[in-house]
Amino acid sequence: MDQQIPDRPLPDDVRARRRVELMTSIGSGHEHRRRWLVPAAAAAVVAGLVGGGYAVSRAANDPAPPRSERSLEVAGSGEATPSVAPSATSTTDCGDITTAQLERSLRRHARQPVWEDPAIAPVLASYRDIVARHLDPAGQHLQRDVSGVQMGGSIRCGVSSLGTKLGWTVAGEDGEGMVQVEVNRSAHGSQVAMSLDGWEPVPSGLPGVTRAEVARDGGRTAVLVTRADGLVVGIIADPLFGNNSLTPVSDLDVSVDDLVATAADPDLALPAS
Amino acid sequence: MEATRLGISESGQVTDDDLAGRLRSGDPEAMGEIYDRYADRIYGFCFRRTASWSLAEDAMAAVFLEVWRVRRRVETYGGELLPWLYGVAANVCRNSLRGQRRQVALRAKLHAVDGDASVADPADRVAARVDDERRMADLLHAVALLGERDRQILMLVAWDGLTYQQAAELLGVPVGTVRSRLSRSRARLAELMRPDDERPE
Repeated sequence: MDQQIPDRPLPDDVRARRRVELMTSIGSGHEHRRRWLVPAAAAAVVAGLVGGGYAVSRAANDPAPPRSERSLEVAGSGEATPSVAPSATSTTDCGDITTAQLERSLRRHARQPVWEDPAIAPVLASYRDIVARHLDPAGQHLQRDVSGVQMGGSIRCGVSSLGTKLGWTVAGEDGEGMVQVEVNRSAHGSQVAMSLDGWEPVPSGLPGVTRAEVARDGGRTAVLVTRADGLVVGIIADPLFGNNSLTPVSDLDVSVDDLVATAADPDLALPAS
Repeated sequence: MEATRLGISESGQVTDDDLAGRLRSGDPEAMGEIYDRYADRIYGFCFRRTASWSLAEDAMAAVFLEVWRVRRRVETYGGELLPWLYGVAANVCRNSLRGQRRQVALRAKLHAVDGDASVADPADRVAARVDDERRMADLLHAVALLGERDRQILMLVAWDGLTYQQAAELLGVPVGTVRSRLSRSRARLAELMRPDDERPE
């Protein structure tokens, strides 16, 4: 019986990537309230690179590089200098990249996280302010600081999606809820869209809104608004901020109309390319 | 030697007690060493709770973040960190499974990224991983029919490699209980995993 239990070691690249994420997270001191943030950011970095055309193994007639080029250094600290040279894969600024470039990018972002990038930080802060304007004008519930980032595309070659999660507290309660906001160039790949099922149209006479949908799941309510400017904005209101708390707030008192109006706000935009 | 089999004595002079002390005092390098030493073990532990390599990877990462968060409560069992790490991992995996539906949706996106960004698996390796997951799911389905305490003991000792003593300390039960329940659980599991046509009438 015991011999039937499958067992595999972590792949080298996964081990290295997760180590960088871990060491970045504990080094930044964000682990207490932002446990999900660094992995998401690292994934975002990878996403950005992929969006730019990562093609180590997919290019025709481009054999996989030798192991020494694929493996990321794991024994040293997250600041270790990569010991490998870039592979021969053709590269452009926003085109194909090599494994070594991927590693360098991960390490660079470990030193300056994407949510602190001067092109990203003010936009994330504006998301917080816009959400507060619509859903918490009295400033009683929404946390002041941006609590994470989800990003698709890349800062250099164009951000295709950007989002954050904002804590929501109720005075006198220990729990924490969450409002997630995400701005996308399209509904395809929207984490908000994928997080819930059963999307239904909801009427909206708001200017600039071409389509609005709502989905509910337990205590969660989400809207997905397609706007005339081509952006798709998703918002989730969840009484439980699962990354930060085991206890939900008793009520996250926002209506679907409030959420749609927030998503329709033209100030919610992506960083300029 | 059990400790060597668990990988505990394989990293040279630094003992788990040393690492635990440094971790407790907030030394990030100790965290890195613990990760290097136990990432594979925790990855395997999480797979044996989730029957999904990808979920196990996410859970493994979450476990080490959680370890850092609760570092002041770190303790060793007989000079070994692994039982305590397993305790943290068990909680994380439990929460991970609770939020599985949400994670599946997220992974649909992240996996597309991962799949593109890593060197493609040969088909046979992918098939083997899928086969692992199917086999593990069958095992988990079978152990779910055991009582909770029996299931914990079976998994910690037979699957995760803890000694009777470590499992007993971790679960707060006498060693004799671990021994007797493990024997009973193994027999029961073997019965549950036997094909229907081989079972006694």
